[in-house]
Amino acid sequence: MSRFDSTCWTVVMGAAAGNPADRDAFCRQYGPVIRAYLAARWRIPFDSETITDATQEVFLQFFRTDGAFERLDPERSSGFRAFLYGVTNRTACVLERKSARERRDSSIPEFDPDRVERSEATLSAVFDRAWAKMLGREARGLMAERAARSAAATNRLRCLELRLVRGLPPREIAPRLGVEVERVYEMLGVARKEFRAALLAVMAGYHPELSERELEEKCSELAVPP
Amino acid sequence: MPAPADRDDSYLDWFLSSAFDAADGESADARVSFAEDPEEEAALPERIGPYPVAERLGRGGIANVYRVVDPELGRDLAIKVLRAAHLDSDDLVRRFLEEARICSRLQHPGVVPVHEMGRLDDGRPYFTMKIVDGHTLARLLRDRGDPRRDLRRFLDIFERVCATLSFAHSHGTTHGDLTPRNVMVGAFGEVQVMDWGFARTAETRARRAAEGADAPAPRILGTPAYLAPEQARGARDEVGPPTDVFGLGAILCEILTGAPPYLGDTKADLLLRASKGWLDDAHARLEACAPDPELVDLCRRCLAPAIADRPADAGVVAREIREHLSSLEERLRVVERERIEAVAAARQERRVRRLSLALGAVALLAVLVPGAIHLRNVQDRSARRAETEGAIARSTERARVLLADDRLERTTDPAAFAEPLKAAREAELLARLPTAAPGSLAAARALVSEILGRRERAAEDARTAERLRNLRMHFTDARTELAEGRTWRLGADGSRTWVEASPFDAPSPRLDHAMIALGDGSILLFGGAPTRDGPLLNDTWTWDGAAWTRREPRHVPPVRTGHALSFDPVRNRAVLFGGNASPHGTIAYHSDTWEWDGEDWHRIETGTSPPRRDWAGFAFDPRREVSLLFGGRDSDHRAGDRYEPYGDTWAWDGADWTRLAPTTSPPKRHGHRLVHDRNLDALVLAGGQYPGAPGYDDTWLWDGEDWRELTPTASYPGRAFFGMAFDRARGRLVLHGGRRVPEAVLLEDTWEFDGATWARVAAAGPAYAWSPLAEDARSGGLLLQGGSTGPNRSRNVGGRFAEVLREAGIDVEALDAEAAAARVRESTIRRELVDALDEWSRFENTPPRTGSALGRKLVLVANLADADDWRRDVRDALQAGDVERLRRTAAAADDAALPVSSLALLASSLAIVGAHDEAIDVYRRACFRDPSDFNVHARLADLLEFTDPDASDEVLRLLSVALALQPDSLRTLNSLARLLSDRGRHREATVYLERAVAVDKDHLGGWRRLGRALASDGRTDEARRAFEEAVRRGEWLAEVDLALALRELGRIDEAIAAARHAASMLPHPSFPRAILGALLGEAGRPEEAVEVLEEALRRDPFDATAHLYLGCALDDLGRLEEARASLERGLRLAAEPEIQEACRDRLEVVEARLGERPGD
Repeated sequence: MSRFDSTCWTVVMGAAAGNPADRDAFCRQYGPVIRAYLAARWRIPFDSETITDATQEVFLQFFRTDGAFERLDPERSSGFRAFLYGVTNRTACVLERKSARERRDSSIPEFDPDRVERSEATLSAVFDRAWAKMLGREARGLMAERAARSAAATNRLRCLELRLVRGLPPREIAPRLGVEVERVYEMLGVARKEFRAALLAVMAGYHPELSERELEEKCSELAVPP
Repeated sequence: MPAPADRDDSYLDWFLSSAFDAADGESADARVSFAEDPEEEAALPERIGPYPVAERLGRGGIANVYRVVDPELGRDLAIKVLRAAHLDSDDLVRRFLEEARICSRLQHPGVVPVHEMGRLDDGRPYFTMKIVDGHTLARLLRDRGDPRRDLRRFLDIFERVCATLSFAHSHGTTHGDLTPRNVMVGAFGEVQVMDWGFARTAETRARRAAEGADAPAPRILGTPAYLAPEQARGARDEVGPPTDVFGLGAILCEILTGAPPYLGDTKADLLLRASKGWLDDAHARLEACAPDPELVDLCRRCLAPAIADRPADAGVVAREIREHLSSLEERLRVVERERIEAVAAARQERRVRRLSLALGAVALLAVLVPGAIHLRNVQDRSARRAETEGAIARSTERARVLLADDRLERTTDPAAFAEPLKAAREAELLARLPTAAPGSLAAARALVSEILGRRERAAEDARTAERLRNLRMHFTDARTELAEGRTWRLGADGSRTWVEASPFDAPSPRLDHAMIALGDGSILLFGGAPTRDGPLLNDTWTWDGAAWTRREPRHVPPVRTGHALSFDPVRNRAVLFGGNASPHGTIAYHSDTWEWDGEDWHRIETGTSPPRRDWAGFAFDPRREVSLLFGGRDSDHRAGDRYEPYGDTWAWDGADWTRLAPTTSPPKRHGHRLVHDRNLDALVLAGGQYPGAPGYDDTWLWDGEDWRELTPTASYPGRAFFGMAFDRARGRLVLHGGRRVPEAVLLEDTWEFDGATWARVAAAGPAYAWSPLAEDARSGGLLLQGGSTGPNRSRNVGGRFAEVLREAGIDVEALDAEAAAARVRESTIRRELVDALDEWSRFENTPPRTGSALGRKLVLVANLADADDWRRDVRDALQAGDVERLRRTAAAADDAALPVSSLALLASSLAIVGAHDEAIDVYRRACFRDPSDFNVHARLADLLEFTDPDASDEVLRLLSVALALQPDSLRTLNSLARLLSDRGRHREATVYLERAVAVDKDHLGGWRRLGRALASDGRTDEARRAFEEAVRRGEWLAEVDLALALRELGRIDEAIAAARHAASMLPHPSFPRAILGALLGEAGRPEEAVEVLEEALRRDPFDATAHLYLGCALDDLGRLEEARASLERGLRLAAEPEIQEACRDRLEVVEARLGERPGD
């Protein structure tokens, strides 16, 4: 069964229950979101060891006994995004306090308390941005999984990748796929629709209560440039 | 589900970009939007115009490109069509058409030829071109993978791109968007540069310059990862061939390292890096890939952030890359030769071995031919060595011969070293052969290093020369005088030396203020301005012998400069008269009289008054017990068509003015001084100027009845705008500083008058003009406060010249003159350095007989370094003050044989010594000699403006030429605007003033001048915006202008707010309040108007305008008797005819109303 056949809560609850595969999926899915937030908060590189360690710390908060998972309630209207944000924020504060107390053996070697981003609006925006990108990645994954069921869909996905990842114009895509250039345009149009469907499906996993239009509105909100 | 047309799925673009981002970074912005525009989404058209369409080839920024078939010739063509969405944009249509024209004009194999241009039925323009089958350089580089592969092939492609751009540059065209995507490499290796849509030619530049203020706001055009810094900043005026050189460097960077100069995750990031020229990463990549240091060096130079540091155009780059490729070929040939020789040698060795083996069995044979084979081997090696050494020697000799060429001694063109470098490199390559003698390689490398060093020095010299040229142009601009704020004392200890005595708290820096010693021994200071362009001041300070105190009088005269101040000991009052009410360039003078009673100012209502003026001489005459006024200037005062200063004498008796009628008078003048000389017990007048004439050096005496000229044994050098006071302790009249006129030459000398002769005080003092001198009775000696150190702050001016010369290895201030001159002589840019020394010395003010020590040293260094006898002669004559010698030189000069800088040197020297007619003549000849020299045009305009009021047409023409040569010259822009405004050509004036604020948005007075011009041109809303900018920059006078502009726009409430704010900020008591009162009256708020105006009149009862507006407001309130009284007072006080007329008109109305009252 595809992980995309269930709501995100299934992954979350599975991770909460200690399922290794679900925990892996959990970390893979939400790790970049947490990293982006911490990097913006502490103004240090995204891929630094400090961020890596701190991200692990956030996960530990979820996975440990009596951890954040214990307080998780899928029925809460604010959704998992808000929950994740809260845990990440709290963990960051704890680490900052600890670092300030133990200057010499700082928990956050690169941490400079004077440089911490304090603007909630900014940090929330960064988090949302990273969250949105996570959704996009998940949507791509779902699209790939669905495309595997059909050659035509696989071709369409490939066409999309050549266009967006490689930046090739249609006339260069056409020979690679063995089709006429007009066909490339058609394929891209259909692939776009398929991506949309996948994205809305991923969104619905977090907001099962929303209608399609409401899901689209949520997507539009997340896609607004900072 | 809603129909697709109703659904807004624009969010999808972002999610798609984010989801399919290979780097997994925030790269959404850098991606092309996936949502293609409807035009492209549509099916392929069957035909475009007459051409059947075969396929869509691509999509540019504003157009689509298709492959079509020429129906007549049956050949394939490319057709480029502007997209319909852009048809409404004139700018984009123009750009599209220009691209076609440029491509058709550039007839070069590297530019795709344009066949035809036209319009489709729907109006879209199109043009057809030769179709290029191949791949973009971007594609080839991407497919290459490893940057080390096929380097030679890509360098060949690069060389052809350079050749194409070199051709374009030689035809005045800049591409503007060089990237690997815009280079097509055909199937047969042909290379073409595409997409000239951003190209600029001389015509496009001229058109944009003409658009001026109407031009669209600058956009950043180009591909971010390859943008030159000037492009990334949107500085379109700076885009030129060096911008393309940057683009070439970017392409070369990608060829060598596999990536463009800038790497970033977002477009914004790329643009930031590009605008700042952040190339550390690119440099690191170049160093890491390092296929050849020469290539890396070329790439780095092309990518220099500063335009001046790059090769001047693609031709230079083409030459260098060709040179590199040919040396590469040579190296390959050498390597091949070595390989062949090695193979041959190996074969020979094998043959010898076989022979040895064969012979080894028959040892006798070897004995019969003892050592023959060995000998032959040795002989072969020796011959090869001799041949190699011979080749090395020939290459080395060729390099040395080329280096010895005299032209290389003086060249600043690095390309001039190409041939000797090539020969030296040949020698180096040959020296690497195994057959070369030991030590050859080291010698050859040393020669290469020497040539590279000389080439680098030539490039450095070129950069220095360019900086000096820019400095010289800049200094002709920087003429606005800035004030100092220091306090100096002369002879406080009885000596004749100047000592700085600046206290902690002092009046702010100012010039053109007034100071007078008061009866209690203190000194009063009033008004002035921090620069010659304003803003004006009206603060009051007193000096108590040790410190300055700012006074807070209840009443204050309006702001002014150049006012006259005297002290009446009988009435124990300081008296102030006149002054200039506006900054430089506008005409508004005072004619009011004020008195200072020790605590407050009082305006004295007078029956008569001298005509308004500034820079009059004013002093108390104890014989008549009056304050005497002589001369002064009002630029509006004309004798016929000429402006001329006054030569009248007036007396103030504490109550009124009386014009006196002496039988003799000094010549008319302004900028002079009048001081009571206790030795002579008479007023002594000295200095001053008359337009067109040098400063006066005469001495006059007023004996209470009449003027008579004294004939001192020796006189001071003529001057104006100096300070003068009587030093009681020494019993001498002292004058100091000032300006030699009309040249802006500052003086730093001090002279004393003992009643019989003037003598110079030995110690040099501070160089100041526009600064008064006053006796310091409490501490002794004389006090000098503030003033100007010249048209240019010499420290800054000198500092900049000094910095450039120091960086060129010539520290004039640290070295002795001979050593500095030696370095100048050795330089390849000796002429430029000498010109810079002349310019610098001029700004250090080196008149004959006087001048600063540094200034004299600069002249000495220039003379020692300059091999030009003619110029040395001019400098010597100037130092000696030999006017006749300079005149003879001017008469005999052969203009065609002299560089224009020599003529400029002669002209400025003539002007310095006062030979203005000859100076003007030589400047005119210099302009004819070199119509492209900004300096001489600007200087001639200055000189004519100062000396010949009738020459305004010529001044206008000269300034226009100067501006065409130096479009960002602030002074020229402001001067032109002023002249045009004087002629009522306000619209044209605004164009120049707008350009001035665009050049320097913070330059003083710029926005206010612009606002006034716009207001005069009837563009009130734009004037409002300009005044707001001025106010934002602290020019509080502009707030009143803003209030008036807002009123014109009908925005009365905002006008009132602005006037209220101005009233709170301005120290002047009544002016802004009068405006505020008028506005309140207009807004139908007469009660508030009355309150404000009464407050204004409490502060200044003599403000006629306030009386007028008060009268109007009282009339509105029905308080007719009071209104009449106020209007009558206003009528009595008003000096301006328009105020008088307004008072009269309103008075009629009020009286009519009074007459209608029952019972009247």
